[in-house]
Amino acid sequence: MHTHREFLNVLGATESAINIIDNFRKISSRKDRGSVLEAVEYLYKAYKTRRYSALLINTTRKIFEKLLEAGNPNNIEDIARTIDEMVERIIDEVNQATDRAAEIMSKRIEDGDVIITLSYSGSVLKAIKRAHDRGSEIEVIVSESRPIGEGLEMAKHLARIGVKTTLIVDSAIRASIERATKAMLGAEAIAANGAVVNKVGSAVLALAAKEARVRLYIVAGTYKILPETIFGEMIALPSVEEEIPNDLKEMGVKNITPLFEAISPDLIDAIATERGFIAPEAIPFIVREVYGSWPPNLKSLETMYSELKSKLKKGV
Amino acid sequence: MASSKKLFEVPGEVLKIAEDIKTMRIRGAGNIARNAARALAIAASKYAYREGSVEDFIRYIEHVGRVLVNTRPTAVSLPNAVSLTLKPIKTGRFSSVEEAVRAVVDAAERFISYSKEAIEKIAEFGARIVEDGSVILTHCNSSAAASIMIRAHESGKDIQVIATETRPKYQGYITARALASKGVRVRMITDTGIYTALRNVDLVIVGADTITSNGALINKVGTSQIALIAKNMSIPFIVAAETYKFSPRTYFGEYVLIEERDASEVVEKPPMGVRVWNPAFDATPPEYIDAIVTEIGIIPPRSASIIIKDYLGHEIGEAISVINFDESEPI
Repeated sequence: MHTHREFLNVLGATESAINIIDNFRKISSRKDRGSVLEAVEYLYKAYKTRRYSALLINTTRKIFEKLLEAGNPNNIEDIARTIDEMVERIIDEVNQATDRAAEIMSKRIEDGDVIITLSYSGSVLKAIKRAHDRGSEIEVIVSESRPIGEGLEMAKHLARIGVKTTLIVDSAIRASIERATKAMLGAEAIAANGAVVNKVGSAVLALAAKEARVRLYIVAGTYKILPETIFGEMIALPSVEEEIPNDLKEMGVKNITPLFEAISPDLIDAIATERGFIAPEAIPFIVREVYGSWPPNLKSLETMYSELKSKLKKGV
Repeated sequence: MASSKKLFEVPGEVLKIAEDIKTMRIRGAGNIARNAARALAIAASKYAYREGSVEDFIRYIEHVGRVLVNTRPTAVSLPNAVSLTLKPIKTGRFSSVEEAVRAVVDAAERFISYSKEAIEKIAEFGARIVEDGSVILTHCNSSAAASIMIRAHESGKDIQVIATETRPKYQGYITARALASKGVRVRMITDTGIYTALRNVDLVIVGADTITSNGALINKVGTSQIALIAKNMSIPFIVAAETYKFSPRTYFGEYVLIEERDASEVVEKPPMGVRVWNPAFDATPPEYIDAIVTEIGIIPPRSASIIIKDYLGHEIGEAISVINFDESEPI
């Protein structure tokens, strides 16, 4: 169980993972053994408590792999430099992938489209901005997305770039959908079967879209695919506790809502990734492209972490 | 016509009730209906021109009826309550104002006690279809729906209720309070949590603002997406509604107007360039509803016209032709 406040600064899934990766680099920046160890521990802990953030999990794997194969444990400065370069490259790659996915998605946005979305997604925002900059007249309906309510932030960003924006309460999703021509969401993680995990309410929107024959698109770089799910690993779905009036608390009532939920692949028309516009069920093809084989060869992060720690301590 | 004559002023107490309905200090379709009847009784009792003409009194009390009906547009319980309360004075003959006043006060009292008994009946019928061990999801606040859950709990069934918070005005708190204070186990969720929550729910019970003649449900916005998901997951979706929530006007082909409320209910100060759309209700199609529990029995939604035609027909059906709510004020 998490409290509401832990997630208060959470905006998009990508942005929050990037923040953690950047913190990891900052911690290691003293370039001594202690700080590198501390940084690795920080990253591992962040992964452990966010087993829903595909980008964080995938990036942690990449970093651990690289640090295990490269660098002399006695040359801690060398290892720290590797971290610096890697983090920079990863952030670059993620930004490029997001841009490319957004570019692909934007080709499907037509003049006059009314797009319904929820929560805050940097990827969706980029796709809409591209279409808007190209001169397409677009309207976006965004639901406030409680708990946290970051839909309001999404609405502000959309209005700021000049997109006609309508804010609704989450209960008005189905009532609004008949006005929408497309539905669009970001992703926290994509599972092996094509299910997309995203902010709670996403499945409500997806089903309402299906009922109204409004197409649902997901905008996400392939870094959101969680290959562990091929072997049955479940994506964590933490809950948050909302504040409620005191008299209710005293009677034992609690407001506990999950933060994320899974959208069944049959409700998703396509996922726009940097590698192409694909059906959710085509995720295995993408996994093969990215990891070189299907199923991919994955070492457990737990094993990698303990190997890495003993490697880093060797120089002591 | 005596329309040049000034009407007796609407008493402050009555205007206060009308204002409270408008601002939602008085809320819930049943509660609004009972308060409207009460307001008419007050308006009649306070009428001072007892020696005047019966016609003037009728013009006055109809004016009060219109003031009340015009406070909120969607819930049919409001015009139905006003129609039922004013029906005697339109259909009866009175030799004095005193008699006419008495008729309104009596009709108001009859409506209020009928409405309370209706909840009792709905609780009794509805509780029978709640199985022991059920997890029930409800939305917004409905005294009819809550009465079923409370009755099921009091009859010894172990139930757990999931109540949505119901943005923008959080009426879910009222439901949680009503149920928890009677010892029912209650958990709240945000309105976005319905899909995940419904995976572990056995039964949905909601109230109604209006039932149309073809069996559609007009209720707090968000109801229809719960019904959609419940249908998808094969979870029974039950509506608790007194017969005066069925709309005779829809029987004659009219649409139900969905009230749109102020943006400030959603966000205190909408960000620059952001429009807020804040509908108070939505429509749930009859095919997503398994049953409607009324005080005269449980019916499938598609047979709503039975209630309107056979049961309400002789009362409300006539009554809606008694008062034309759209008529402009006579002053």
